[in-house]
Amino acid sequence: MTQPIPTAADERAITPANRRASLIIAALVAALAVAAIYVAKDFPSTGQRTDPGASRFPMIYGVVLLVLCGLLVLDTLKRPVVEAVDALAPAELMRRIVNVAIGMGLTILGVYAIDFVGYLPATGVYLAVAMAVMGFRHPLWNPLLAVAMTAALYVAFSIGLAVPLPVGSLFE
Amino acid sequence: MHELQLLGQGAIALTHQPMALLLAVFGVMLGIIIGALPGLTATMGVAILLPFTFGMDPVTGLLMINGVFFGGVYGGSITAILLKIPGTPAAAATAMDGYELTKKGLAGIALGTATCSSFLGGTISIIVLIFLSPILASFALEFSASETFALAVFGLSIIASISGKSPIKGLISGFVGLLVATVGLDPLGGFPRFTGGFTELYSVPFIPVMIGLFAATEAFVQMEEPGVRKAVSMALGRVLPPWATYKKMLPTVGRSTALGIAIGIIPGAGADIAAFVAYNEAKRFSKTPENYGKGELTAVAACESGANGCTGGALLTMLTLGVPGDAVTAVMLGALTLQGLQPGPLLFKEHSDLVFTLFSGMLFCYVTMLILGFSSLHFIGKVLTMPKAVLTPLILALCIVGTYALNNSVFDIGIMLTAGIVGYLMQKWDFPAPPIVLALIMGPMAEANFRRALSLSDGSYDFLWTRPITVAFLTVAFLSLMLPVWRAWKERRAAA
Amino acid sequence: MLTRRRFLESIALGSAAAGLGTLPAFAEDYPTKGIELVVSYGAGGGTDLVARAFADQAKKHLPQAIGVVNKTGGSGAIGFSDVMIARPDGYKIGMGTVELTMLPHMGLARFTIDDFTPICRLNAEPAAITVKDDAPWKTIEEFLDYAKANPGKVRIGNSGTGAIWHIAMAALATKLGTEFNHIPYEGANPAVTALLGGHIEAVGVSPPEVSSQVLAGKLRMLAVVGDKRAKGFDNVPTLKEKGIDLSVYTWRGIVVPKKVPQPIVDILRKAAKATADEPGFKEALEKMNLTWAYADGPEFRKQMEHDNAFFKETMTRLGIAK
Repeated sequence: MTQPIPTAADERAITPANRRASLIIAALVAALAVAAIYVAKDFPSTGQRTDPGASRFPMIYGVVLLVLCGLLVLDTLKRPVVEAVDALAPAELMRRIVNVAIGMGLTILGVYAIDFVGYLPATGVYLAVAMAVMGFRHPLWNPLLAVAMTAALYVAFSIGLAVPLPVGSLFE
Repeated sequence: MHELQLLGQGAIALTHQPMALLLAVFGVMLGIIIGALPGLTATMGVAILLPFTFGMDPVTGLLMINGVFFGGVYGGSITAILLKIPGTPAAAATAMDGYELTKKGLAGIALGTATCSSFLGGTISIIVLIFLSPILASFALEFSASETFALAVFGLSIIASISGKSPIKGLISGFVGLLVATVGLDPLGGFPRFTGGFTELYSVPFIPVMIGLFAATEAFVQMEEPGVRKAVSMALGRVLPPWATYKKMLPTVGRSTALGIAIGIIPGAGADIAAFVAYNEAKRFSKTPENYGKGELTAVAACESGANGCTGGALLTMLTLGVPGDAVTAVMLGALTLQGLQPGPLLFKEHSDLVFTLFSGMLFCYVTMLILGFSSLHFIGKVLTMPKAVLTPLILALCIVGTYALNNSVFDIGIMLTAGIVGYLMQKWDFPAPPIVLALIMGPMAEANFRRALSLSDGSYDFLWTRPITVAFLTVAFLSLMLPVWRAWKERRAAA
Repeated sequence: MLTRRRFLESIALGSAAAGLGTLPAFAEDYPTKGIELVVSYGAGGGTDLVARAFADQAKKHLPQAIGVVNKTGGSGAIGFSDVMIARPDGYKIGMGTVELTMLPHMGLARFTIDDFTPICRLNAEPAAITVKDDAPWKTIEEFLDYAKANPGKVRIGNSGTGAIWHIAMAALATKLGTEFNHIPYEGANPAVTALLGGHIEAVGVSPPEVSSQVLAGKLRMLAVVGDKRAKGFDNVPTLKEKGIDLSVYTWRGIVVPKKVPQPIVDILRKAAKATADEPGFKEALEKMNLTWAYADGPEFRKQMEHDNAFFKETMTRLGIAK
């Protein structure tokens, strides 16, 4: 899923995928800006005569974002659309997306686990599984390294720097 | 030179205190580690060590704390360059080009340049602190809310130079960042904005967002193609930058250091702002500005000398006026008070022996930092030879633990991961992340000070054009924003 | 063997204490493990330093160590909430500050002072009115006369809107029947800096926060908004001496969740008293320029209740209360 490079003919050219993405992002950001303005307009005044209030700055940012999104849409529509020359094969692209999604999902699970069973067991298992998923599957080194790295972080933070790490809601 | 004589005496006094020197070395070492680890900042390191200084004599305790301060500012660059983990907000600026250099296989030189520049920036700033304190101290007091607001606007204008290919996308990132920066308690009224009822969102979770956008995003990118092969194909190689290369960067280092000192002196502005401003000015003066963001060594030198130049500036304000220049010196102010030394105008008069012993100790700390840095770079660089399948999960674990350490909060980890996922999508579609980080640093500063200035002037907007420093900053900010436009126009005319 | 009834009882108790079988076994054994002291403000700040000095000296009076944990954010609300919801076994205690009596009125907290049992007060500081050394006002009367003659003209820096020194100065304005232009800063330090630079006319922060500048002759303290004169500034009058009945204090002390059993509260109170009386603790406070102001639980509770009512009334009048 690396960025497809458009043909050298026109450096302003974009691929159809890129064009679609830019338009979707512009719409999403514009929606965010509208939502922010909508929420901000009800912020109460600070009660000080000279103060413009809590809502002034978020409103300004929201309006500027709307303008910028408009500009992005215009800019995107103006650019010529060219098929990417070195685009990845759909299968390869899919494989990468799946890999990243697995990685992200695993990390989110890991954080949930840390919150639930505590830092030590959760991090150990997370590291072992993540390394295995990424291709490091040595039956001895994988668990050994996972334990070693977990312990190293624990020593550095919890003992060395006196930062308590989560013990997990299960044991608390 | 009265000061020189006092400094000599201080240095001699220091040689009789081996324990102080030893603990200074320990402090620098600890500082480098704290700086390098994500989430742990120099402020926190100083605060952690503070109770241990209760029982020490003033010189020993304060030198150790200074060591942590200096080491912490420098340490951030190491992980920023090697792994794109900005250990400190200032290192986010270093990471922009530093990590690109690592990807090119130039990690060694980048680290060496960062170390040299940190040393030079820091040392020069201490020398300025020693000799020019009385002259520069009054500068700090010139800064009222309107000046600080203008400085923040100037800082925000840097978005133009760190936007990458598309200025529009950079500006969108920047303004999304500004909007995110308004989450939390309204800086003047205390009203909770966009918090959805979460108490954890009362203050902008700036560092989790930064760690997520830089480090977690990069880790996710690495996960696209799993594999056991080395994370970076090339080894660390040479770390000491060749003199011929470094010589060319000296003007940038000098200019960045001066900027760093000035920003350090200003109350409420710290190393993070200095690093970004130094980056921006280095790019402005560069003959090859197009290389910035793609692995420009001079950018690393600028950021590091700027960030470390801040240390002396912040200390200057703290010691001579008794008001802290940034968060770290605010904690150090407490440390000095605990030692029975009241920072402020009387400190130099009543304790000049001690102050100059401290100054010579600070120079010693920077030399220690240089030596420790260069002797450990090869060892630290070994991290690059770890297989990607091991390194990437480790980076994520480090991000998680470091983020948690900030506030002992699992909620912050969630923010960090969300930022990492958003950052990944942004990178896929060419939306640059640095403008968000910059907006998170400058946004709250701009808003709070604009509104404060308005209160100070009793509701009149004339502070925008009647105060010279304010006008100067706003003008430079405008020019910074216009520079890319002007360059593009010139190029187009040249082509035609 | 548990009977069914006792079993149900213990479940009910256990759910209140968030966990079965982990109830504080016997209060007389307390403490059998380390105690966590939650500080709602950042490491290195005043509250944190008091907490650390206390934890350090408490070693001599408790069989187990007290560890300081900083839970910052939300103007302190996060740390206080953490103490409030902690299991009431006495192993998680908190540094309570005057904000406990302020945040609930601002709609920033889910707790009220009734969710806590006070153990002891350790430190208290009054507000003070300080101006620049070259200011035209030499005495508090001159300053107050000017303020009364020029409503809205005097810019007074405070440590944040709704923060203690803002309320103190707003209450003063009400007493005087005038108005100040309150300028909020991110804490007392930046406000003092602004005063030094001559960007505002006065600050309303506590004596320790301006003491070094006052001693150096850069600032002049005109009056203390407390019951008695501040240590080290014996020539500065209190407002009460000048016929204005106002005294506002910030304070720090130890609190525990409401449901902590009385035997444990008593153990902590005894240990806290002994710790507060340690010369080492008093010395640490003195070094930090802070005023030792020990008060036992019941007396501390009275102050909390008094302040709670005072802030509720003042903040409602100012339109800050939600």
